Amino acid sequence: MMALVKKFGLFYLTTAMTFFFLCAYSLAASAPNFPFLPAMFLPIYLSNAVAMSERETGDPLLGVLPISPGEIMKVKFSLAFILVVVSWLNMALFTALQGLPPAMAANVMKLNTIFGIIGLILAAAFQYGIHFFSWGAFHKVIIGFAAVSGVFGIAFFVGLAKKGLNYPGGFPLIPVLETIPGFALGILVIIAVALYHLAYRRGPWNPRRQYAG
Amino acid sequence: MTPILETARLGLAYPGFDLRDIDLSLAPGSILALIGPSGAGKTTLMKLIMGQVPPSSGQLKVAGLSHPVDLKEIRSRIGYVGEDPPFMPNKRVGEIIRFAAPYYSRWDSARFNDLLREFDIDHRQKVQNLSRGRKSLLSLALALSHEADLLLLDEPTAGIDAHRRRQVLRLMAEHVADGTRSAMIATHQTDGLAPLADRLAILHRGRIVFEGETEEILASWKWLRYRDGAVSRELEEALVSRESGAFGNRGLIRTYPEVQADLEGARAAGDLQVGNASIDDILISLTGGE
Repeated sequence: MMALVKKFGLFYLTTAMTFFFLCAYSLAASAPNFPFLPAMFLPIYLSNAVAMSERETGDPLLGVLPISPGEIMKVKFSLAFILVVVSWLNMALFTALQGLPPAMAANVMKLNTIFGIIGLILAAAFQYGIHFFSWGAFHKVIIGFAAVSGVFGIAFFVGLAKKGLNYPGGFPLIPVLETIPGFALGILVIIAVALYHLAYRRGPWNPRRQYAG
Repeated sequence: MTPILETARLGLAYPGFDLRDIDLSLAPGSILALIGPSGAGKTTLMKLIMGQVPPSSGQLKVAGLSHPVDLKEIRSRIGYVGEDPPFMPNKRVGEIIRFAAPYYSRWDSARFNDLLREFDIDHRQKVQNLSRGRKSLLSLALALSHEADLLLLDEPTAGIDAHRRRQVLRLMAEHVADGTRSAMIATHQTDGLAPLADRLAILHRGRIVFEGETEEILASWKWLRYRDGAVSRELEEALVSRESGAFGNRGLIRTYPEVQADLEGARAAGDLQVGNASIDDILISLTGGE
């Protein structure tokens, strides 16, 4: 199992580190909209990590070695989950380091959590997509998603900056975030993690579900 | 004695292809040659046994272990050489083995290094710098280095010269020589197979159209070359791959031992000659030369 983690984990590790340095740089440079920015880019980073590591998970040698498809999927699901959790902790750390007013910090953490949930959903969806459509066909979807989201994300923040709606109070989602109760988000997290686990457990890579006859 | 490989009505259907009702049993110490024209389903059957694709029907056991529940253990018991060697081009031989070896509890480093030396492959070489044949040999070295109960070889001699081909067949025979392990080889190149393969199975359009002991098959299938009237009309009609020409007539008979006594007279009179059939002859007659 550790050999698989080493083989697939490199790109998740580099993604987590890049994300960390992006947050650190944004904090140091007092970038506009900083507290909200990392969360919205989390799914893009996740897509990139999946796309890059999939080159290794697509190693045909894995189809020959005594490794079950379920074992491979366990590592892939675990790494994506760890990346989301580490990124969320990373964002929480930098939100704390910002010294924001408590109400604003709560809004930022809500956004971080929402995008963490989106990240988990995407990670599971990517694995199902790769499984059913093959990496050769589905990688265009993942890379396309990352590219389009990146362009929209940048346009969104540039638009905010042009309108003078800069950090922290001008972020347009604040009124929406304020209406979301923290405990509801907590329940959503539990549901998302449970569904993520179920997606792995009930996936077609489970040997008991692979064979019809 | 538990068969090393056992399949019962094994099948896989997908658009445009239907592999079905594959019933095979491979005893320890035996070699099965799976032959058939391109597109017959040989590689698909190999992939089914390896668990690379799930069957749509039937059962499959390797060394008494059942697919798909014991897939991981099954793969540790199989030494597999696929049609396409499974190595990423940017990896070095040493890297591949460092990754692969820990997955096998019976990995034998000394054996692997001996085989690499025998195949003139260096640990530091990148896969992209190996020829197609060398990649197959690297795959074979991997397959032979973990005391696999079942050796599955899918076109293992594609892209390699005659000397290496003999080497591959010798190594396969040595692998099963102690009587506890088996091998299955799928190939187009039937040259040199007959003395090694205990059983032959001919796959055609997704079905096994013929299977049996090699020795028995080769004793039963014979070429008859005869003059007009030397054999009965009934026997002549039973011949396959029948041809007539200036040289006389010839055809393949499937049941030579049954008619051998009846043909002795014609043979003694010089009106009939009996010749050995090759595996290719049998394959072509059963598949229509496709």
